[in-house]
Amino acid sequence: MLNVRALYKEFPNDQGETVKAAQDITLEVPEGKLFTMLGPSGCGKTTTLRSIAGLERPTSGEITVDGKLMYSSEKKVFVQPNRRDIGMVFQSYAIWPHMDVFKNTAFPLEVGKKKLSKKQIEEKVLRALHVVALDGLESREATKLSGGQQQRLALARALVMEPKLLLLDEPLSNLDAKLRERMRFELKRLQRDLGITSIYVTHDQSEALALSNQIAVMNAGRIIQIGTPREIYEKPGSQFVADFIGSTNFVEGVVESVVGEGYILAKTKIGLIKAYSAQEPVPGSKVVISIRPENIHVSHERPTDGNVAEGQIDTRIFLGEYVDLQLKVGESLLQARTHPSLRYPAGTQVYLGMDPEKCIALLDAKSPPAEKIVVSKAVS
Amino acid sequence: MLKTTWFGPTTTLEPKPLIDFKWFIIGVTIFIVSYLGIVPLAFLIWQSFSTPQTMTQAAEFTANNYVRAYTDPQTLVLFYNSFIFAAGTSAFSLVLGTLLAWMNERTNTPFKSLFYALAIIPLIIPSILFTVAWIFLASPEIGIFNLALQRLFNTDYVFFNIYSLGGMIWVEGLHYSPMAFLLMTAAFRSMDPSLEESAMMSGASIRHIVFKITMKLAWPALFAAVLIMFVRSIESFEVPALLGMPAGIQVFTSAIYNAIKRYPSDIGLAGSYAVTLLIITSIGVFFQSKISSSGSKYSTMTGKGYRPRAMDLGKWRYLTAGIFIVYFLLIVIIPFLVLVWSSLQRFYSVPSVQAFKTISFENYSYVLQYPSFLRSVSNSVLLSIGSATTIMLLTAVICWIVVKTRIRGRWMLDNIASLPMVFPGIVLGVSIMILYLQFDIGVYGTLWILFIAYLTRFMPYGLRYNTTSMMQIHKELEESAAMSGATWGTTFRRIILPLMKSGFVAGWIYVVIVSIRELSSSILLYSPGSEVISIVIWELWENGQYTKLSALGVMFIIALFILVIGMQLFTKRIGVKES
Amino acid sequence: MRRTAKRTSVVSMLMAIILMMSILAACGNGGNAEPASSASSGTETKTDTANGAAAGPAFPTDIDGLVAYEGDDRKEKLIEAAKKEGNLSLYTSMALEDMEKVAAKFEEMYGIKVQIWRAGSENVLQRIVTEAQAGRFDYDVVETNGPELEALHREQLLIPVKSPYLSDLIPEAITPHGGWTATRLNIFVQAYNTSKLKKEDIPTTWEGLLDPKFKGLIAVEAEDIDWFAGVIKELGEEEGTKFFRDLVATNGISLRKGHTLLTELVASGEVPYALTVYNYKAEQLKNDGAPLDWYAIEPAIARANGVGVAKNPKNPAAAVLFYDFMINEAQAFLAEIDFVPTSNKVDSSLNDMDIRFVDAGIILDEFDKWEALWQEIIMEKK
Repeated sequence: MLNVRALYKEFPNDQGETVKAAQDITLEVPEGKLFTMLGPSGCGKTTTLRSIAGLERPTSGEITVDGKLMYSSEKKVFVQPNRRDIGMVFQSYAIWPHMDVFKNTAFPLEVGKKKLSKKQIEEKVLRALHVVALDGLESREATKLSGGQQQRLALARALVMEPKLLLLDEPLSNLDAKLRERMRFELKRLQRDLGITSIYVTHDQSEALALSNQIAVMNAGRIIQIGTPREIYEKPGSQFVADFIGSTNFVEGVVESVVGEGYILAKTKIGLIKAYSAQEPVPGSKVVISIRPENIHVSHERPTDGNVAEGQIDTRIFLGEYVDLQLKVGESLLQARTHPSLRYPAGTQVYLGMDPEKCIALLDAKSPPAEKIVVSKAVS
Repeated sequence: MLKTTWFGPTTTLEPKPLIDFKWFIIGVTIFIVSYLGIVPLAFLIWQSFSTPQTMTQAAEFTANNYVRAYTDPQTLVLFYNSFIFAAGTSAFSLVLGTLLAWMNERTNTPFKSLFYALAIIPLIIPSILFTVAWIFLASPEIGIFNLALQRLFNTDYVFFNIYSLGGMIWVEGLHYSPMAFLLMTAAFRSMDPSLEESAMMSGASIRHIVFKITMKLAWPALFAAVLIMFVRSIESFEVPALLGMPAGIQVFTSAIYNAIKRYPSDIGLAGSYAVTLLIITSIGVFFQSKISSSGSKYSTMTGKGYRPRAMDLGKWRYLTAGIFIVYFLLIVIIPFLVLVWSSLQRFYSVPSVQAFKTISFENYSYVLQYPSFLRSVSNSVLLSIGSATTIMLLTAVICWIVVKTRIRGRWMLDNIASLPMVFPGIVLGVSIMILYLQFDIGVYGTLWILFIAYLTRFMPYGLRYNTTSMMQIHKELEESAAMSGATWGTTFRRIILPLMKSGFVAGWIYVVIVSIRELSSSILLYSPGSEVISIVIWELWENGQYTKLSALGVMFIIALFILVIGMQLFTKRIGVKES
Repeated sequence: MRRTAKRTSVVSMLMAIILMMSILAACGNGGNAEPASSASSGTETKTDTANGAAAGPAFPTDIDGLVAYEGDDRKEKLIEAAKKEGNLSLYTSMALEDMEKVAAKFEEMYGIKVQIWRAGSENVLQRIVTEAQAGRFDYDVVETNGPELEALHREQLLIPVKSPYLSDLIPEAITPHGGWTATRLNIFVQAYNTSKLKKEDIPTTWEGLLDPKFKGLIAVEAEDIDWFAGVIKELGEEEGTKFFRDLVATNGISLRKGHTLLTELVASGEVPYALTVYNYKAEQLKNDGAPLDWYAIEPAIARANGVGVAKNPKNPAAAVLFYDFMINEAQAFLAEIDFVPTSNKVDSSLNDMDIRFVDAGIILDEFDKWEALWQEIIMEKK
C-alpha cells in the first residue's frame, strides 16, 4: 500500500548548518494496517510523515501510495499534497476557527476533484460525523468544542473524503490522560472497522504498543528497528529501543562463552547471567543486558532455574496495580515490578529470578554510561 | 456502511496543467509589487546622482547632492529634531494605540463595541484640520484650554504650549494613534486567550499577563507599528510646518520640501536626503523579517481550542471605561466639536454667545455645490476602495510568501514592497509621472495613474497589517486544507483570507482613509476629470476657506464613520466569531 | 516545471524587472525632444487645410503666425478660429472657485469650453516642465505666479503674443521678453487684530516695528523670500539687512506656513500682527466682520500673477484669445472679485498706493542669495 524507499530529507538551518532530518528511511505498510513511527522529538518521524503527505519535499528517495508514484527524486516526480488523496490529522487538529463543525467537515468534499451535489456532501458529512460520534453538533462553532470533540472533528474531516491513506500526527498528545486512553481504543476500532491504512506518529510508546500492527522506532533521523509491538518490546535490537520502549534495567557485562541456540553467558556485577542474543558475540566482548522490571521475579526462596541473584530491598513504591521495588544487588540497583500481594518490607533479603529468554544481551556500539547500572525512566 | 464506499474507483492523476496557478499568482504578484516598488526607487537613486535638469541644461551625473546634504552641519540639527520628534511620536501613539486596542479587544471594558469605529476618527480628520484644531485648543494666545484654565485660576500662566516639541509630539501622536490601534487590534483579535489564561492560572497578575504574555506575543505587531509610525512621522509635513516652524523647530522634511519647491526643482538633493530614510526603513524591515522568520513562535491562532474571548478586569473595568471616556472627550469629541463649531461659522472665532448667533449651514451647501465636488467624491471613493482592496490582496500574497515560504530572497521582496513608505509623496508623484509620460500606455491623465500612485504609496502599510495577522496563523491550518484536497487558490481564499480578516480589514480601512487624504502625489497626477477629494481639501485650505473646510471635514468624518461601521458589520459574517 | 518555479528566487525576478526598466528609460530618453515638434506640426497642417479653404486671405493658423498677426481683423478671425477649436486647456494656480468664474465669463463670451487644471504654482511649473520633457503638451495657456512663469519662459515653453491690449496695462505688467504678462497683483500688506492692537499704536514705517511693545507679536509667512528681498532692496541692502536683524533681535519674528492661515490667525487673535498677508484675503475677512484690519507700510511690495501662451498649444487660436481676454475683458471682472488687476483702465482701491514690484527674473537669479539671508536672519539658522 505505502512504500517509502531510501528517503532523505536535509535542509539548512538558520545557522547554515545542514540538518539531517530523515536518513535512508525505507518502509512498507500493507493495506489496512496501522503503522506507527515512534521516537523522541526530533527523531525525524514527523518529517517522514510530512514527506508522505507531500507537505515537505524530500531531498531524495521514492514514495509510492497504492501503486502510484507520489515522489521520486530520480524520475523528478512530486505530486502536490492536495492531489495525493491522503487524509491527515494534525497535532494541533488544525480546526478552522472561522467555520462550524459541518463546514469544517464538508470542506474536503467541496474543494476536492470530484464534484458532489449538496445532498451528497451532506450525506457524507453526516455519516463521517456519526462515525466519530459527533452527531447533532453540526452547527456548533468549531471553537466551542471540547478538546476531545475537536480531535474527533479533525478525524472526521480526514475521513470524510475516504482517503486511501490516513496520516495521524500525534493526534492524542493534546488530550488529558483519561480521554487519551479512551480515544486510543476508539481510534483502533475505527481504523480496523474502516480498514484504512494508517500511519501514526507518536512519541508515546504505550500508545504505539496499543494501536499498531507494526512499529518503526526512530532516532536521529533513522529507523532503528521495525517490528510488531511484541517483537519491539520483547526483543529490542538495540539499547536505544530497549530504553525507549517501556522501562528496563541495563546490566553491563563481558561475554564468557556462547552456549548456542542464541544464548550467551556473560559475567556481570550481579553475577553470571545467561542471556538471549540475536547476534553471536565473540567471547570477551562487552555487552549490555536489558532486563525489564516485570521480568525480575522476587522471592524468599531461591528459584530453581534461570538466572539467580541475591539482593536486598532498598525502596518500595506502592502504585496500586503493582509495586515497584528497588533492589540492591552488590553495588548495583535494579528495579523490579511485583504484584501488590507481595508485602516484603524494605531491608528484606530476597532472591531475584530472571528467565534467560527475557534477558536480552545487546551489543550496542554506543555504550551507555559505564560503571552504573542504568535504570531507565519509569512508565508514566 | 462507510466501509462499502471506502475504496471507490481511484481516479488516475490528471495531467499537470501547463502553468501552476499558485506559481502563476505568486509570480504575477511579485512582478507587480517589485515593479511598483522599484520604479520610484530607481528614479530616486538615479535623481540623487543627477543635477537638476532644465531646457537649457541637461542633467549631469554628480555626487554633489550627497556632499551638499550630508556635509552641511545644519543637516545634523534637522536629523536630531526629526529623530526626537519621530521617536516621541511613535512611542506616544504606540502606547496610546496599544492601550486602547488592548482594552477594546482583550478586556470586558464597557461600551467597547462602539469603540472600534470611534477610535479611528482622529485618523479621518485631515491632518491640516487636526493640527489647526489643536492650535485653537492649546495655543498659548487663544487656546481654549489655556483660556479656560487661566480664567479658572485667575492667572496669566500658560498651561499648554502647542508650539513646542512636546506639542508636536502630542498632536502627531494623537493623529497616528489609530494606526497603532488598528494594527494592535488586529494582533490581539487573533490571539488565543488560553495563552493568557494559562498565565493567569500560573498565578500571574493582569499586569504580568499583559507585559509577559500578551505584549510578548504581540511583539511582531508592536514592531511593525513602531516601524511605520517612526518613518511616517519622520516624513510628515503638516505638524512640523504648522507647529514646529513658529517655535523655530526645523525638521528633515523641510529640507526636502525646500529642495523640491525651488526652480529648477532639486529632486536630486531631496532624493539624497530621502536615502537616509531608505536606510532606516531597510534596517527596520530587516529586523522585522528576522521576527517573521522565527515563524511559528508567534502563531497564536492554532487549530486547537482557539477561542477569542475577553479578559475579565473585575472592578478595574471602570478605570478602563474611564480612560475610554477621557480619550473620547479629549481626542475625538472636542476636536470634532471644534470642527463642527467652525463649520457653522463664517470665520473662526472663539465660542461665545455672540458668535453663536451667527451660525449657519452655508458652508455645507457651499461645499456640496463646489465645482467638481461630486465627481471628486465619486473618484475618491472608487480609487480608495479600489486601491485598498487591491493592496490588501496583493500584500496578502506577498506576506504569505515572506512568512510562510522559504523562497530565497523573500526578505528583499518584503523590503521592496516596504520602501515606497519613505519616498516623499511629491518625488513619488514625479517619478510615476515621468514613467508614464515616457512609457505611454494611455495611463497618463486618467484615474489609472492615481490608482498606480496609491498602490505604490500605500502598499507598505497594507503589507505591515497583513503580515501581522499572517504571522499569527499556525501553518497546520493551511496544511490541513491542502491535505483536504484544496488547491492553493482555494486554500488562500477560503482559509487564509478569512483567518487574517482582522488585519486585512484594519489595513483596508487604513488604506481607504489615507488614500482619500493623499495629496502630495495626487496634486501632480490628477487631470481635469480625475479630480479627487483631497484636491478639494487642499483647495479650500489654500484659499483660506477654513470654515468651509471644516464643513467638508465633518461630512468626511461622518461618511467614513458610516463606512467603517458598515465594513465591521459586513465582515462580522466572515472570519472568526467572538464569543 | 514546478521544481524550477520554486527555485526561482526573488532576486532573479528583480534583475529582470530592473533590466526591463532600464530599457524603457533608454527608449524614453531617445525620443525626448522629437515628438514635441511632430505633435505641433501635425496640428498645423490639419488646421491649415481646413482654414485655407474657407477664407481667402491667409489668416495664420499656426501658433507662430497667430501670436505675430496684427491685422485689423485680428479679433474676429481669432474668435472664428478659436470657435473651430472649441476647447481650451488651462493650467492655473488661481483659486479654482475664482478661476471657474473667470472661465465661465470666457465661455459665455466665446462659447469655448475651458478645461481647468489647478494646483499650487510650484506644481504647475513642475507638471508643465515634466510633461514637456516627455514631449507632451497638454496645456494651451498657463495662469500662475510671476516667478514660475519666468521659469517657464526660461524653459522656452511660452511664446510672446503681440496683443493690441498690452498698451492698456501698467508698464510693470509687461515683461521685457514678452513671454508672459502680469494680469493681477498680490500685494503684501500688514494686518493686525483689532481687539489686541489699537489703530493708533500701529507703526507706519518699518522702523516703527522696532518698538519693544511689539515683542512677540509679529509673524511672517514662512516662504516670503521675495517680499523680504523687495523690502531690503527698497531700504538699501545694508540698511534693510540691518533692519531685519534688529527686528529679530528686539521683537522676534514668528513664522507661519501659508498666507491664508496667517490671515486667519490674525483674525482669531493668535497672531496680533502679521507682516505679509495678501490684501484681498484680509479685506475678505474684514468684510466678514472679523476683528482684523490691514494697511500697508509704503511702498508696498507686490507679486505679479500673469498669463502666458504655450509654445506648442493644441488650440492655438483659443489660447491667444484667452490671453487677450485675460488682459482685456477679464480685468474689470478680476477687480470685482477682489483682485488687483494690472489694467490702467480698471479702477482699484489700491491705485493710489505706492507699490514696488518683485522682479520675477531677479528673484529667480538671486534666489540662493536671498534664501540664505532669509534663513540666516529670519529662521535664525547658524
